[in-house]
Amino acid sequence: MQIVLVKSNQPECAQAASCVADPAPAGRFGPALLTLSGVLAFALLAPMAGVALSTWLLALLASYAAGNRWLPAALLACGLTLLLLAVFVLGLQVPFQLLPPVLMPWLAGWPLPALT
Amino acid sequence: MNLELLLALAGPALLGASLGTLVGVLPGIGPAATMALLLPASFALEPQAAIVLLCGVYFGAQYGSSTTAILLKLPGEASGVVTAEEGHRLALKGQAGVALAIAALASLLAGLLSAALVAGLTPWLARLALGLGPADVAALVLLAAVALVCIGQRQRRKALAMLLLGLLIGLVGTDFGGGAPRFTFGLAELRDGIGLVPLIVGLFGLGEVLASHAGLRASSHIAPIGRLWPRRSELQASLAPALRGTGVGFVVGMLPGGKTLLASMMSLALERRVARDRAQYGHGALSGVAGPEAANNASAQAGLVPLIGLGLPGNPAMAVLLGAFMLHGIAPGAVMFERSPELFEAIIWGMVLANLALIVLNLPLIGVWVRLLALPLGLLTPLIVVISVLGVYAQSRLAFDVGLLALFGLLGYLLRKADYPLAPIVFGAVLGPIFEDNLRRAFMHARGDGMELLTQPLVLPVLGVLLLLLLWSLWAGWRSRRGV
Repeated sequence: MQIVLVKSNQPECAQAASCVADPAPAGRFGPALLTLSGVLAFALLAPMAGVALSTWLLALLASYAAGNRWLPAALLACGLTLLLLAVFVLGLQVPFQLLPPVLMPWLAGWPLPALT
Repeated sequence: MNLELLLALAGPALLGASLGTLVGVLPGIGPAATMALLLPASFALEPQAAIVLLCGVYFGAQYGSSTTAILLKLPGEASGVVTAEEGHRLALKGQAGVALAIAALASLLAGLLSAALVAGLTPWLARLALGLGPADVAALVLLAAVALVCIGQRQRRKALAMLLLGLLIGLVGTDFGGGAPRFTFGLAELRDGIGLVPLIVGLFGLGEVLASHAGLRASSHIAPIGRLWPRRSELQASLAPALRGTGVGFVVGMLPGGKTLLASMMSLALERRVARDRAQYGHGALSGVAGPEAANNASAQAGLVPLIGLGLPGNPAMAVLLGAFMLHGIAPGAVMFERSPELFEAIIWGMVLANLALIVLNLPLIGVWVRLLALPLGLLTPLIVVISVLGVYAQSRLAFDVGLLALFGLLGYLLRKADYPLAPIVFGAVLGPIFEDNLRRAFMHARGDGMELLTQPLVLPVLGVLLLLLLWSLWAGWRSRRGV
């Protein structure tokens, strides 16, 4: 899917009463790099730190890269993580290793649902 | 067709159409990437329900794109660019509702006619394919690859380079002739080759997000929709363009590399040529909405004919669908018609249901879909990134595949920046192994005699068409350089 940019100072924008804002100056690689590093961090961390924490970190970095400040990004990351893990684990029954495997012996006696 | 099966398909058709409309409306993730992400989920479904779900996504994306093209001149999919020309001008004249209804009805007409054509043509093509040997199939695959580069590509050299890159990606894995690892760099994860899901989601999903990190943000204004139901005269004026668009779209869609955008463009050109009042074009012509919309829907559905009949995908979305067939252990082609004829019947009914679902879902809910565009990018892109990563990880539960996703995302981003087409990469990766397998078997049957291959029924005619296509391509390139 292509994203089409319409500058808000173009005449059709005023006529349409609906358009997108001016794009930020081109050549900003920071957000793209941050998002990419979030994906790589997930790939490195997921087997060791579990999917839940890795997803939160990925969502945090992707959300910050998309223009949110750190605190809203952290809150958004919590919401996205809970929502999407619920969809994947409860809805689609994907057997993710949610928590770090190193914690599993400690959590053995806790009344938690099966996490793997 | 029993009512029980029809009811069983209604759910996947409705869900697929809804998801497709959603990805058609929202920027950032296209139908091929969405279908790739749904592959693991579709494994839990019956084969026919899974195929109908994925088809619904593809058809829905074409429809969702036209909604935003008409109301906002913001096509979510490439095929909507043509509809945006006349459709948005109608919206500016206060006829947005009529343009949307005509687009929907033209798409429905094209969808139903295409379903009938797919039902009639595909078994015939599959029967024809039964007499083909591996040499014929290899020649057809070669033709498909060359046609992809020659037809509808602005930059043929770039398209060829991307096709070769795709072929290289398709070579990674275990050599199925001798069992030796190829381009695996000693990595056990690459022994099974590079998965289609990280490739497609990376190139089309993550790559798009990375490329869009430039501050794009939709406003919350929505153009007034106005009167929705067209007058009888408007319906009558749109019928012939919709029928012509269906014909053009279906023919283009069956060609390898036939794009929905190309079908829409050809339909608009045809409508301009046959119009009695050509002056209406550029000021909001209903036929400029009906024709291209019918054409892109017909083209999307016509891709099922070579896919189901011959096992040849015509675009990345069809390549994902081929992956879904493989996941369910179904080989498209004559074997499928022999072993599970009920599956083809279910797919046709699923196509009809998905098209009906699109009308039911979309016309009354147009305002809701467009309002989704007001979602801030700060919410939309993290959502797309996390869904992409979790979708890829859920499929194989290999962190390595997420690394591949990042790699292909970066590649997609860089190639977009350099204006390279991405679809040929997927083509090369999918068609390469099919070509290699058939060519090897053909040589084994012919005991290594290359001339023996030319005696196969389809090889020489296909190579002739291929030569004509290459000559035409060279001639067209020469004309464009000379500015003719």
